[in-house]
Amino acid sequence: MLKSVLHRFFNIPGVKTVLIIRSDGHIIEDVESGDIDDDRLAAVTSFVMAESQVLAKQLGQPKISMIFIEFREILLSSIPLKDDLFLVVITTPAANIGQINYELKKNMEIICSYL
Amino acid sequence: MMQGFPRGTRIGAMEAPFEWILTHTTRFQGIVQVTVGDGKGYVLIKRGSAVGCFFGMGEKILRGTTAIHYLRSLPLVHHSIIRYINSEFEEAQRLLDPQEIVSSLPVQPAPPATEPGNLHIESLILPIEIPESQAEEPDEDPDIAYPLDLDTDLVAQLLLGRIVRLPHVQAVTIFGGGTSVLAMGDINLESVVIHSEDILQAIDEIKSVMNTGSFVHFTLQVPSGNVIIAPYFDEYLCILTGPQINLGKIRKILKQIPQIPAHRSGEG
Repeated sequence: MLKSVLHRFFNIPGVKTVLIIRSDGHIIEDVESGDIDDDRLAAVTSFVMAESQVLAKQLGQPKISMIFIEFREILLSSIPLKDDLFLVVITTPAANIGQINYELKKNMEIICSYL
Repeated sequence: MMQGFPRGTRIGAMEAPFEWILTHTTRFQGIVQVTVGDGKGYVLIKRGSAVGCFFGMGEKILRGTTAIHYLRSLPLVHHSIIRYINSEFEEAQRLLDPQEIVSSLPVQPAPPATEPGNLHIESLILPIEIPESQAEEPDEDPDIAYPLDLDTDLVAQLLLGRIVRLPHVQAVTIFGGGTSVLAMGDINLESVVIHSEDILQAIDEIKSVMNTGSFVHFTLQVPSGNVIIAPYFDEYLCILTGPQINLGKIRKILKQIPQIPAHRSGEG
């Protein structure tokens, strides 16, 4: 069931990969990863999320709402789910950030219900 | 006062000593509107040299070299910088009153204040006057192509001045090596800069995992706002905003950062 919810993200043009990872870099679920090394991607993304948490705390904020990292070839978006889990979406840079933002937040509750 | 002169392309506005403008426009041609109190005037500049100058304050009118000497004597002048292409510059030169022509003045070497901290630039940048109708319409912000004939130091200040004027931007800094080198805004970003370096290292790790292409920007959203980090030549920009910021507008400005080789920074 969780996989089918994650599949909904592929309705957004440009989505390449959707992952749920734990803060230690362990993959909980992944969809359509293609030729990406998911294990390594999960490890480095959890590293970015950990550093982002530190920065958020520095700003006096207890939690992150979301992060975006744009490169020339890809856009990585990540949102905390519950406990120490994150949803990570990799898209082409042309993907609509606003739409991704909306879909991430819209589906967060239902994804959490399967975790 | 400047009626008849070509409109050119408006680049930005700032406050600085007049000499500083000359030493930072060595690749630039255009006209700089100068304002000091009630006094107004203009300086036609070609590659760091004043070609023509007029300055009027009440009944007092200064022209040519005398006007330049007067502007140089002031601690701070408001400059509105307008770039001219060759034909516009030639037209402006034709429009100069013969008395306004400046006999050749030595360009003084760029002061060590190319290190911006010495100039307290943070307090020097002034908003460009924007009609109220435009000020309330952030999307009306025009595309600005920062010309390659300005040195990167001046471009940095114009860029930061432009960003910090956007609604909901709280502070902006250029940093490198864990230190802020130029900053504007209400909040000290030194501690944010230190953590930003750690995030940049983590982002580098992503590049090692997949074909990402070059890094464009990182945005951290927290309930109180956003932290945006983006490359700026060999250094990075860090922007702190409130939650209502128009991120599309920030991205647009980041895309307008000129792609000129970093080794040109500080030349001139």
